[in-house]
Amino acid sequence: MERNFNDLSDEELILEFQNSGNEKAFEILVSRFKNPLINFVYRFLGDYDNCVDVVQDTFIKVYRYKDSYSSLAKFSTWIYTIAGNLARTEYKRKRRKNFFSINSYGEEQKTFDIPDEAYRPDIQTDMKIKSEIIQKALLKVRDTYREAVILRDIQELSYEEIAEIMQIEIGTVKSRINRGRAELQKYLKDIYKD
Amino acid sequence: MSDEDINKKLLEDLKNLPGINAPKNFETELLRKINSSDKTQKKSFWKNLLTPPKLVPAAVVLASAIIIFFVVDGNPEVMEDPLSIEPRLREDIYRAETMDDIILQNGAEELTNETKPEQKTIKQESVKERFKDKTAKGEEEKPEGVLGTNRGIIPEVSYNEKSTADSNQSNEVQKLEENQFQVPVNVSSQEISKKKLKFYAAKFIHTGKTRSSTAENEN
Repeated sequence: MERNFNDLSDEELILEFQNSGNEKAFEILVSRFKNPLINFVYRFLGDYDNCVDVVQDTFIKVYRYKDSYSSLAKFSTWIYTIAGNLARTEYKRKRRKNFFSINSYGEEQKTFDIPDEAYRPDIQTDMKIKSEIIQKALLKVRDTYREAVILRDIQELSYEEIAEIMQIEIGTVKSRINRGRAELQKYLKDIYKD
Repeated sequence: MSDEDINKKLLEDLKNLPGINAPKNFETELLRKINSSDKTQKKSFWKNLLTPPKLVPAAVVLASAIIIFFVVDGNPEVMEDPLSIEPRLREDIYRAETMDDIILQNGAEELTNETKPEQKTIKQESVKERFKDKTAKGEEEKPEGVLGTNRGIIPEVSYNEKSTADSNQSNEVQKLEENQFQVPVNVSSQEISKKKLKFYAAKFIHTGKTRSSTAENEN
């Protein structure tokens, strides 16, 4: 009798994949985590193509190093840790590469407003414009604060999970979230002043 | 709007941000990447190195190295038996069979080591005198300042001279060397012959007298 993998938890699926090498378990994990990870990495990097590559690399690492997963930890924190590390590496690489480019990452770097027809209110809805502005403001926040804010306020993870993913203390997580929010408010004060 | 209101609004907007979805071909692209990475990662460096076709040149090189090392003698020099080699002739050591040779050799060496011609003449004279005195006395004592060994004799004087040779103090060297030898007695050959003659004459007279006195007594 074939087991229904969809009923299994994330941890059970990865253990199944570890023990039997059943790729069906891996595929279910991919389908469960691809969108949350794409969302997290996109908010961190701000570039969709790079974000897809990073998430695919994350799943490749899970596939190749499945035996390094310990059942003591939650699978979600393990895969978020891998994705976060890869995203940070990609962010640093991109920042070095685009040091003299106008389309650069980084909170302190000067950004250039390129006219884009997509921002016209008569074409797009108000919410979409707002989300674009918030995304721009997020990219201006320092990367350590940004990661904490994304994981807490967009991905809605607990402080404990964020501490485990970022491999820092819970107190540090809280302070980083507060500082990130404060920076974000500073960049978005023109939207909320009315 | 207060800061708290702004914060609440911001958090609400962050939660309501539109979700970003993965592309449709995400899984297929992922599987393709996994398969391609498997192909590249299947053979590790050592496995790749130890595959038979790639081992052939390495094995050939290794075998040729072994042949060169063991079969071909890289050092053609024949090792000489140290016991069969004759010992080197040392020029600073002289072999003397009699004591006279030693004295002469010492004197000759001293002369060769001298720097000034004046010193040479002084030395030559002193050596000659010394030799004459010793031969006259018939002494067979060991000469001073000579070290004797089974194989040869190393003169002490030569070492003393070597130590002061670089100092350019020829006068001091001369004084030292003069002290080592007996003070020469300047007697000409004529005087010696005269003395000898006197000695023999006196002896003859003395013996003549005794003979005549004994004859008289006998008579």
